[in-house]
This record gives sequence, structure tokens and C-alpha cells, in this order.
Amino acid sequence: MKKALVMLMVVALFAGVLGFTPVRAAEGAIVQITIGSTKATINSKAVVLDQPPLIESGRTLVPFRFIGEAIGAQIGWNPAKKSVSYVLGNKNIVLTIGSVTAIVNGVKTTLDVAPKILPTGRTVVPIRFISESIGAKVDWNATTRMVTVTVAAAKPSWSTPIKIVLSAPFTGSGSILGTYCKGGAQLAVDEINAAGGVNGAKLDLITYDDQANASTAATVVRRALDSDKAVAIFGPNMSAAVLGVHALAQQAKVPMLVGATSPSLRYDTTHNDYLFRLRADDGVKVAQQVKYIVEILKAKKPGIILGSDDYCTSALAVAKQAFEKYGIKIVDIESMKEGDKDVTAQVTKLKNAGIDVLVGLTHEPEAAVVMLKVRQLKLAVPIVGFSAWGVPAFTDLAGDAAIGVISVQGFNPADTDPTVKKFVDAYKAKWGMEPSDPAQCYYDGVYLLKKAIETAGSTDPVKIDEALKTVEYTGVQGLMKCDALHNFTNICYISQFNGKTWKVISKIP
Amino acid sequence: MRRNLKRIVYGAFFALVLLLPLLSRNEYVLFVMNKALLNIIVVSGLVFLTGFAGQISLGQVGFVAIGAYTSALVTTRLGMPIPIGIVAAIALSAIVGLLVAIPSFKLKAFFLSLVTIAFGQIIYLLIVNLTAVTGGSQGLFNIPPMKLGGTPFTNTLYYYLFLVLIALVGVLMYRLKYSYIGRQMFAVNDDDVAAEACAINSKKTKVFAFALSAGLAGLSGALTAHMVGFLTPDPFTFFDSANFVAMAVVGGLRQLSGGIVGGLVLTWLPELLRLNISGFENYYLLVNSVIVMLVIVFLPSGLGASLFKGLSRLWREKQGAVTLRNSRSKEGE
Amino acid sequence: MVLSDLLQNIIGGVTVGATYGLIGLGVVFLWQSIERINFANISSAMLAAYLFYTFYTQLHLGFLVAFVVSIAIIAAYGLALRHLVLEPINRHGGDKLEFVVATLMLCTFWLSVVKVLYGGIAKPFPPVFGEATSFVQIGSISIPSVYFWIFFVVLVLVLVLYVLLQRTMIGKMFRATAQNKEMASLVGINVGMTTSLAFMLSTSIVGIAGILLAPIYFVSLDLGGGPIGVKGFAAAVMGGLIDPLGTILGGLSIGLIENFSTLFISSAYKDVISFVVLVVVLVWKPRGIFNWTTKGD
Repeated sequence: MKKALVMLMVVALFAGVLGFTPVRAAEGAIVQITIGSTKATINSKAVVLDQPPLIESGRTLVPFRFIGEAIGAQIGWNPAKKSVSYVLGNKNIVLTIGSVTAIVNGVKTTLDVAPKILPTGRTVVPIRFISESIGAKVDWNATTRMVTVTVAAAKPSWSTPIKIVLSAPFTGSGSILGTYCKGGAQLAVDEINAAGGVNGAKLDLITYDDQANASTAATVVRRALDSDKAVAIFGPNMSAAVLGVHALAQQAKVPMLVGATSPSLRYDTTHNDYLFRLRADDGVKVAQQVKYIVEILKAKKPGIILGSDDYCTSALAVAKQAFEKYGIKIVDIESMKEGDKDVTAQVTKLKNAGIDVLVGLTHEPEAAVVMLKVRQLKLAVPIVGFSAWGVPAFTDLAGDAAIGVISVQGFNPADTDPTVKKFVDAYKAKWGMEPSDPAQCYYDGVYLLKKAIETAGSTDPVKIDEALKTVEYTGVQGLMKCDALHNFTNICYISQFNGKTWKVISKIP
Repeated sequence: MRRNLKRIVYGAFFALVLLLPLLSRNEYVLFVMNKALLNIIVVSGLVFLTGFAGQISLGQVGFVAIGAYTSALVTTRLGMPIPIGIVAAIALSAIVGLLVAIPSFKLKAFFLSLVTIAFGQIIYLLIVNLTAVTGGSQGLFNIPPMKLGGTPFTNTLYYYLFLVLIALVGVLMYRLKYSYIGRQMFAVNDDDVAAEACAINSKKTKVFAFALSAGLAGLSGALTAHMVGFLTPDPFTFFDSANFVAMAVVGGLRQLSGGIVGGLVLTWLPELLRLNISGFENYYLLVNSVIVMLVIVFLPSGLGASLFKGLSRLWREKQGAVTLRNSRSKEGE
Repeated sequence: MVLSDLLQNIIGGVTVGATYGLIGLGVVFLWQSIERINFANISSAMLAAYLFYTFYTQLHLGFLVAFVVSIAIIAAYGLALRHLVLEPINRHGGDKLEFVVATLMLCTFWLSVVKVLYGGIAKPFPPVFGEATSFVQIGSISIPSVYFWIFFVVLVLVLVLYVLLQRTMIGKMFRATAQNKEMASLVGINVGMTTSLAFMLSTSIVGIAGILLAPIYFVSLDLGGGPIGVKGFAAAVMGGLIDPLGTILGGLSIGLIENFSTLFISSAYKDVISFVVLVVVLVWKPRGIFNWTTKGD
């Protein structure tokens, strides 16, 4: 017991002596001075020098303390040796007054001009030598007689992996989506790590099953925040779950990037600075769907087949409003439950209601069940389905019955855009299957996070959050930029299934 | 020293239970612990219903849902204070419990379990479809948290509140078990015809057991609503009911501690199985179900019973060792 | 509402109802012989469908081979169920309730296993019973070809089972074992064998139902849990848990109730209505409304 204590103290002592005294890393600065003028700027902020810069033998000399502070170095002054030292990052420069010999990282170098003490009592040093030794760029403008020193921000490097958590459904009714959520996120993480990580640090993706269950998500998100100390959370992918847990991310000040699509997650409703959305929301998609139905198909009597869970009902809420705006009355809404396999009665009723377009707001297997029944009962109207009606999980099951179906998609793997193609190929190579919505949004999300971390120069979730609001990134979903509603993108496609692929009718925006 | 082993083990256990929020500052741990405590309340009711009164319920989650939505609606829509919401929740659940008890007069075992399954499904479907009242599958949000002097309860405060409630439930159960009604229940459980012959009203005891377990489930649901702050229909499916029964059986149906052991173990097991191994998110429920099956197949009397048997053997052996040593030392004299 | 609409819905309801009945048959068989309810009853349907999918679509075995091998495996699984679940529970002092909970967990277990092995995305069933979009047109009514297969198999199965239970020694053995194990063994019935047979028959019937259902349900996790399992139980209850024909009729009536409540009341409340009907039947006639096997006790 005592031994352990002694050991502990010895270790502590060593740590203290070796003194991990923090060495400042370059933070990045632009310094501008003009010969003969006391006016200077640091990062375009005006400062006044107590000694104007002067030129001697073609070299500019500036006060030693000013240039050190301006570039953010630690400054040392040894009165006995009459030497000046600068430390910045891994660079160490020592100059001696009146001597043309300087020591940079232990190596002797010869200067063109020696540092000296002016008659005014100020010590001046050659600005170009100091700056260039530190790794900064020096520009000389002969007409304005201005010197510009640009110090690039050092790339901080973290040895520990950056923890991010994905909350997605892997069991239960929503398990289709979890596979794609993880497929997209993991692909991006693996690509980034293979390319050297984020500023040298690897991303560590921890995946939890939230069972597409809001109350399980509440547990998982707490675990991500408190046990894993994740710097960012991806998901949940289910709107009701996000509504339930987003306040936790806000309290913990950790950004949460979700693929859930309910309009109620917009910033003007949540006022949560830490909640972001990675794909177009239902407000956008359903509005486009309705617009297409009314303006292109010229339909007047829409009928809706509706699933029971939150994905379907929140889409219905938007569809109702959108149709109302056009002054069109929905003539019939028929419900089915997830897992239902017979919709004879529902389709009969829709048919008898005299609908002229069928709007499908269900999940994938239910969409297939509906389409098989629509073909069997010969309901001959255009079919315009929501995003779940535009994925292979639906068309594979429905087979020929899906031909002619129009869907509003968040993602179309047949898009010829090179970024999309690259993503689709990489996804197929890694997982042996074609990606499907929402894989692309979590893929983009991880890259967005990478960019935000690099921009913030920090893994502090608060700083990442600030950076997420400003970064721009061009990914699979085109230009991703946080808008006033905290949506990164509004991209969607109206496409029609031809038996093999989804032909894009229009890509919005 | 060895004679005090029993006291030390129990003392350490109770100290751990009491001090847990001080030992762990991790809100996730506390939150899961609170969920476990809320499950204990439901499962204790089930142990009473199934173990003591012999009635099966595979729709217990329906009562939890009634409690949760009642308290949430009473506090949000009617603006009533939370205690009134909770009392309303218990009352409504218990009344519905009375009604569900009626089929149990005639039906046994499997048939009764089907009625309860149907009951659970009906409640679930009503929550999903009565959108105007329950918010449907999009859920009900901004349910007020409990407050103490104006500030919302922390997880720690909820923890102590739930502990107190479980202690009260425990005392109630204990009193009931050894009361007249408890003994009547055992009689009905063994053979209700014989019990009727002894002038025991089996209907009355069944109704009482159903109402009590339903009331406890309602209490748990109401507390969940206020602790979590939102409600969606997801946690009220048939599989959740099955999980409650599994908790009761794993804990042990024949003793009061069954609810506590089952609730704790089966709430924590899936959480502990959330290992950070890529791909394990697909496996953890599989492993969970295997473990539960093994426990049920090999320890049908429950973990609780086995645990106490094991512990009591421990005391006995230690005491035996002490007496043996005493006698030996006497020989030495 | 025209007549053809009604007929169309009757056909839809009857087909889906027949599938509930098939699932119910598995329940009836086990209850008949050992008075146990296997809550993982429906898992056999999912397992058979996935096995068939593996053998037929992935390993390219012929239809008959794939079918026979799948059902053989499912029968063996039934045997395993007896020796790995029922017997150990009995040995360790467990009873009906423990069996119920163990099989409930088994249901979750199989869902997880299939999820891990095949993923959560439903797969199309190979068109062995005709293309999903091939319909037979009779007047103004159109019927998917797979429906005829379902009717055909259900008829054959019910006939076979009826003969088996009512007209053969095996049936008598089953019923004798169910009524009193000790008496049964005293009169020379091999109780162990009867139990094994019951398990194997129960899982195989549901397995056949699973393969038959896959064109409608797809090769999906929906075959291994959720509404279809509960409705299978409901069908069995309508037949009093003993009458095979009654079980099928029970299934049909549930299917019809669902369709007609959608048609005339509300699609959102069709499941509520069918569950309420179930409760009413249970309370009103606990011995089943389509039970002609036993009169009185």
C-alpha cells in the first residue's frame, strides 16, 4: 500500500519536473507593417508600434517583442548573454545582439544583419529571418513599402481516436434502414481513416441499435453523451426519436446530425443550435411530390394509402397542407399497418372513391403489397410514392408491379453525377449491395464532420458545432451548407421506375 | 467476523443501492438504473399476479401505457399538477385491470393469456390511431418533469423517489402475502374449485390481483412519462409485455424479490451487451435472448431464488466452519 | 359497392384467413398431444421460408429437393425443441409458464438469428407458385395464381390431418396422451414417441405454411413474429385448440372480419375490431365456436 503511494508520488513528481510545459502551436496570423510607420495590423486589427520598422542593408528590422507576439511565439530574453529567443511549435530560434550568428533548433546559421539595440533603447531583429525560420511566408511590396508576414495555422494532431456515435435501428421493424445508415457512415469513416484520419487522428464509429424506438434512443443517446463522450452523434434516424432526445444533445452541447425528415425538426421549431439535418426534409419532398401531382399530372382527386408509423404520418401532415394550398381535397385516405399483407379492402375503397392518382405514404414492403394489389385489382391511375417507394427494398419485392411508379427520392444511385457514381461504386465494393436512401446522407455527414473538425482545429464539440454552421462541403448530395433551418441540403429527385432503374424526371434544386 | 458475513453482504448491498448516485456521476448509468427501478414496479405487480394469484398476463404493457398516457394528458392537456396525474393514472389502470379480470373467472392459462395479448394490442392500436388525443405514432412531447421547489428533478432525485416507492410496494406485498387475502390467493392458485368449496371467493381475489398489478403498472407508466418527458407508442408492443413476463420468470415468481432481481437483471443485460465491437449491434439481442432462455430452462424457479439459496448456503457453510473450529479448539484443550 | 368488389374481398379475406388457419394448425397439434403452447410457433414459418430460399434461390436445388430438405430440417428442429427446451424445463421443475416464456424468448432469438444471417431487408420469393403479377381472370374478378396453391395445400393438409387424428391409431395416441400421460403409458402408448411426433408435426405444418405464405409475406422477418402469430393463435382458439377444421374456419372468419371491417367501418381500426371479436369469442365460448370434436367436457 505504502509502496504504491510512493510510486505514485514519484511518477507525479517526474511528470511535474519534466514539466509538460505547454508549447504553443501556431494559430495562424497575418502581420502587416510599413517601413517608417508605427502603424501595423495583426489579422487586420490595427496596432501601434513603439518603434517604426527600419531598413538596414536591405533587411527590415522590427522590435523583437512585437514580431514574437504578432506571430504568437513565446519570447525569451537573456540579459546576461544578451540573447533573444523565440519558441513556436517545434521551432526554437536564438539570436544574440550584435552577432550575425543565430541558432535555429540547435543549428548555427549566419544572418545578413545582426540584431541590435537602437539609440532609443529598443532591440530590433530582422523580420524575414525570424519569420522564415518559424515557417511563415514573407512578402515585400516595394511600392507601398509594406511587409506582410503570413503564419499558417499548424495542423493540430490528436493521438486519441475521435469518437462518434451512430444511433440507428438494427432490430425490429425498422432494421432495413439501420443497414444503410451504418453502411454510409462506416464507408466514410473507413475512407477517412485509410487516408490518414482527421488531422492524424482516426475516427472511431460506435454503433448502437435504437430499435427505431424513441425510448430506446433516449437511452442510447445518453450513453453516447455520458459514457462514450462522443464529439458528435449521428441519428437517430426516426423523427419521433429525435424530437424526444435532441434536447439532451443541446444540454450536453454536442452536435447531433440526423437523417430524420419530419418538418418539426427544423430550427425555427426546435431552436436547438446543436441539431442538424443531413437530407431533404418531408416539407421539401412531400411538397415536390404534391407539386408534381397537381402541376404535371393535373390530378384533382388524390387518394392516399397510409402506413401507421411516424415516418408515414408526418408525411401525411405535410401532404394535407400541400394539397390544401392548391385547393384540392384528398378524396380518400386508407390506412394499413406495418406488416399487413392484404390490402384488398383498402384498394377496393380507393378505387370506388374514384381517385385519379394514388399517393403512397408507406414503408417499402407495404408499398410492394399495395402495388401487387393495385395491379391485381386494376386500379389504373398514376402512382406517386414517397421516398420508401423509390428504393430497391420496394422494387425487388414488387417486381413488375413496380413498373411505372413515380417516386420522390432523396437519393438516386442511377444519377450520373461523378460524386454519386464514385460513392455508389465504393459502397458496392465494400458492402456488395447498392446503396439506398439514407446511406448517402450519413456518408456526407461524416465528411461534413471531418471538415468541421478541421475548420474548428479542435475536437471540442462546441467548436465543431460552430464550424458545422459555416462549413461548405460538396458531397453525394451536392453542395451541403447549413441553412437557416439547420438543413444541409434540400436535394430530391422525382423519378420513374422502368423495371430496372429509376429514371430521373427532375432533380431538385 | 465470519458470523457477520451475512450482515456485511447485505449491508454492502444496501449501501451500494443508497449511494449509487454519489458513486456514479454518469447520467446514462443513472437513467438505465431508473428504468430498471420502474420496470421493477411493473414486474413486482406481475409476480403478485402470476406467482401468487396464478393469473397470467401477456398484455401488462397495456396498463403501463394507460398509466403513462393518462398522467401525460392530465398534466399537459388539463394542466393539472403531476401528483393528480399519477393518481389518475393508477386509478384508471386499476379500473381497466378490474375489467380485464372478468374473463379470468372462466378462462385459464393459455386462453387468459390470449385475452391479455388482445388487450395489449387493442391499447397499442388505440394509441396509434387516436391521433387527436395521444399524438399517434408521432408521439406526445413536453410532458412536464417532476419538480422540487421549482427546479426539475435530476436523475438522482428520481432514483431516490423510485427507491422509496419500491420500498413501499415491497412492504405492501409482504403484508398482503401473509394476510388473509394472500392466503386465499394461494388457495385459489392451487385449486380454485377446492378454494370455492372452502367459501373463498375466487373471483374477488382474482379481481384484486389484476387491479393491483394493473395499478402498479400504471404507476410505473406515469413515472416513466414524467421522467423521460415524451411518449411514443414504440415501447408498448407485445414484445415489451413478453419482456415483462420474462423478467418476472427470470427473477422468480414465488418470492417478492423476484421482481427486483428480474427487473434489474433484464434491464441491464441488453445495455451491458452493447459492446463496442463493430457489427455487434446486430448480435446483442440474440445473446440476450439466449441468456434468458438458458436461465429459464435451467433455473425455472428464477435467479432470485437461486441467488438466495446460494447466499444462505454461504452463511450456513461459514457458520458450520466456525462451529467446527470451536469444537476442534476444545479438543485441543 | 358492386358484387364483384364483394367477391374480390371475400377471396382476399379467405386466402389470408386460410394462412392464419395453417399457422393455427401448428398450435392445435402441440396442444392436442402435450397441452403446451409454443409461442415460437410462428418462427417455424419464417425458418422454413428462409431455408427454402437458401436451397432454391441461393444453392439452386430443385423445387422438390429444396422443399423436402427444408421441411425435414424444420421437423428435426421440432424434435430439438422437445429435447432442448421442453424436457430440460420439466427436469428442472419448470411448468407451462416457463415453457411459454422460454418459447417467447425463442421467438426473439430466431428473429435475431435470421436478421444476422440474412439482413433485415425482405427478399422476393422465387416464383415457384407463379409470378407475383400473374393473375387468373374469372369474369371481373382477378385472382393471383399463388392463391390457388394456398387453397389446394390447405385442403390437402386438413384432410390428411383429419384422417390422421380421427381415423388412425396415432390420433388416438395423441388424445390419450393429452388426457392422461400415466394412463396412456399404462395402456401401452409410447408417450415419448407421441410427444416427439407432435413436436415434429407441429413445426412441419407451420413450416409448410411458411413456404406457402412467402409469396404473399415475402421472405421477411414479418413471417417470424408480429400479427400473423397472434392471429394463428386466434384461429386455433376458434377451433377450441383441438379441431383442425374448426381452426381453418376460425382463420377464415378472422380474415373475412378484417376485410369487411376495412370495407365497411375503417381501415385504421380493422385490427382493433378483430381483437375485440377474439376477446368476445373467448369470453362467450371459451371452447371455441368451430369446435365439433368434443361436446361438453
